Amino acid sequence: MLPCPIFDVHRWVEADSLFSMKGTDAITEGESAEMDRPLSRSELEHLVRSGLVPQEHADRAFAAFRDAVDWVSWLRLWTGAIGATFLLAGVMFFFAHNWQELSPLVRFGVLEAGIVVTVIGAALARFRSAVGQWLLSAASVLTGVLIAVYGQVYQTGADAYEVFALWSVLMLAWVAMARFPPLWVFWLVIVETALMLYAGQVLMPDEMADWSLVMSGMGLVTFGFLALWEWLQGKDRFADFRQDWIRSVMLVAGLFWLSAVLWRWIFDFGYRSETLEASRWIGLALWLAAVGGGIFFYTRVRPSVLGMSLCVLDVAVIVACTFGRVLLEDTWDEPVGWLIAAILAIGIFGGATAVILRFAKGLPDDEESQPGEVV
Amino acid sequence: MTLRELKESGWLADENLAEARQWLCQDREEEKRLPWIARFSLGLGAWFAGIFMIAFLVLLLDDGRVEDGVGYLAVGLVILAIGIAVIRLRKNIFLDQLALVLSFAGYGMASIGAEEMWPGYSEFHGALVLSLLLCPLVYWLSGHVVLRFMSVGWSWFAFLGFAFSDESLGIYLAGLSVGLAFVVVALSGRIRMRRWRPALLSTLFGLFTAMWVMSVETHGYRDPFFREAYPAIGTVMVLGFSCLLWWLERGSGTKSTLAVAVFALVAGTIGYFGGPGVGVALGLMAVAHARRDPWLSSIAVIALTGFLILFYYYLGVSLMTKSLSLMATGAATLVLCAVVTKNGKNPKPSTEPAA
Repeated sequence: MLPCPIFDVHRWVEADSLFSMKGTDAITEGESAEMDRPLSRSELEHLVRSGLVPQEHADRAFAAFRDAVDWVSWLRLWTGAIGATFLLAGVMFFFAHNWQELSPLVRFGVLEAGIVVTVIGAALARFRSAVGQWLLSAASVLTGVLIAVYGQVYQTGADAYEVFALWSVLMLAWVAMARFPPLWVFWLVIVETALMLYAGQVLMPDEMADWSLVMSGMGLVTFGFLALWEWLQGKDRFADFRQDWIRSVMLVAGLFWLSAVLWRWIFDFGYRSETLEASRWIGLALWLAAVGGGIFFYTRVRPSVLGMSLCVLDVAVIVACTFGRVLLEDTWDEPVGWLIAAILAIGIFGGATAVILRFAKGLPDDEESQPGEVV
Repeated sequence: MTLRELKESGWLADENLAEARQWLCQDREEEKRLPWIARFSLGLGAWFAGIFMIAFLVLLLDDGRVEDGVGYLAVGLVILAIGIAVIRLRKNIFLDQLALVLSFAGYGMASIGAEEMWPGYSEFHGALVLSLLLCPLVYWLSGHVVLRFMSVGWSWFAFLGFAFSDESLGIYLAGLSVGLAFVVVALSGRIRMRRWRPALLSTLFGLFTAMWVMSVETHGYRDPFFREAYPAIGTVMVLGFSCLLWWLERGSGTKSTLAVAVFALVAGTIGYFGGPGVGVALGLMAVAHARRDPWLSSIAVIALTGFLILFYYYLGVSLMTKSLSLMATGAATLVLCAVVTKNGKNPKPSTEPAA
């Protein structure tokens, strides 16, 4: 199966050594590893073009390359993903379009039948087979639609957060049965949506929290799940979850929430206010802990160039924005302020890149393959 | 297909093995020298600091009463030349970052100057002509992947302005055709990928952005031309990728050709009836897999997700039509998934030794 680099960095390391950490002494070993690494078509084309593979063998070499491409796994993955997505989107659009014409009985009947059929189908296909996992994903989405339909038919008056909270609870059974990483991430999205809606509909109107505190909380929750995921990496029972795109998604989401507190602070005109909200300081403290902890964890405990780089780049963006805001506060119409801001930005991002390169080159080979790291 | 298999099949002679292995290691060495995330960091920094630098230069020229396009153009070209000269030094990462910022700012200033010199055009004629002239120069002179990517990207950026002018739609379509032709030529193996990869990636981003521009409604208005032509443009692009797929898979037998034809039909139908971007993204996904290219796969997956979201908000098709077409396609695709899961087997690679 061909990996997607952005979503699956450590497979990438194996497949293409994009983050090859080998030192100079290891080059011989690296060259040896090149012997058994699957070639890309570009590489084969070069070998033929440069005459290393003679022209008379080119057709057979390309034929062998074509035969080696695993179309079955590719089709299985993408037909499952796209089919399930299209079908569920179609069901939702169908309800949206025919809402007035459908009786409550039909609305509930179709959805409940859909859930029953998908779950029975998943059981027949085995819950952890590819088809079973996609059918359970379908059942999870249909559960959400059913809750929404229930709320609209009976006009329960429920807040949106209650719908999402109930959805996340009810779909948990399917999520646990499927042990399907994309479904777990979808569940996490539903949970975070419920929390955000709860904040917007209850905490904020009741003045129990402000946006900075809410986003800090969201960051805390996301990093909590990330910490749990990292902890489970070492457990063989959770080997299915050793997919590094999950780390990237959760890390980006967690950093986004905490950075959003600082962006509000930086670009809010009251950022120099004497009466700063305590929640901003809480957000700043959490952000510092997150990026500091992230850099430490992904360099010392479980080396990951992408994980570390995301933290470093987040620091660079926040620092550059802060300097830019402070410098240009009173000098936005004077060239010198912009020049200083440009020089500082060059230094900050150049420094960030230097840090990334230093860590990337400094990590020894064996640290790259901690238990749970290699997929 | 590995180097070892090539050797054991007798297609790679023993005396060529060391050279082949060394060539393959060069990519690893280059990636080790500057990993993709470091390149991304440099690009992000160039964008950040470049905007500050452009603002500085504009204010500086404004203070010096330089208001004509020639002044901006001259300053831009000089700064761009300095940027290229600095990046060729390859001394350290800070100088690289400075060079990229200067190049970005140089392009920006020169584009402003070109637009000033050809007033009355809202479609970035001046900037497009200038970037098309500069692009090959910068590409050859700089040799830096980020700057190469940026030089092609500037041309696409200027080109996208033509989408908003009824008078320039011919140029827009011609540009899309050139972009598609370049992608097809590049991915059919006719060019050296190591040199042209930044141009290929930048062109793919440009094509997908162009499709996005054609599909969105701005303030409830969508250009009538695109409303009519977008499905046809999407279908042509899907067929382009399908031809490419056929080219890559040719010689695999009738079954393979039939599979490519079915793929073209399905993706083309999706492309014509509502989701041209979805069809094109599917085409790129298949081509990327056929070439074992994880970068292209990632771009295709991101594009597919984005265009599916766009389709969700697309108002040109009734909800009922959307619903029925999605359900039918989804059910058919799931049936295909079940069939593949049950019966699918990969053919054994034919690596018997050469005679």
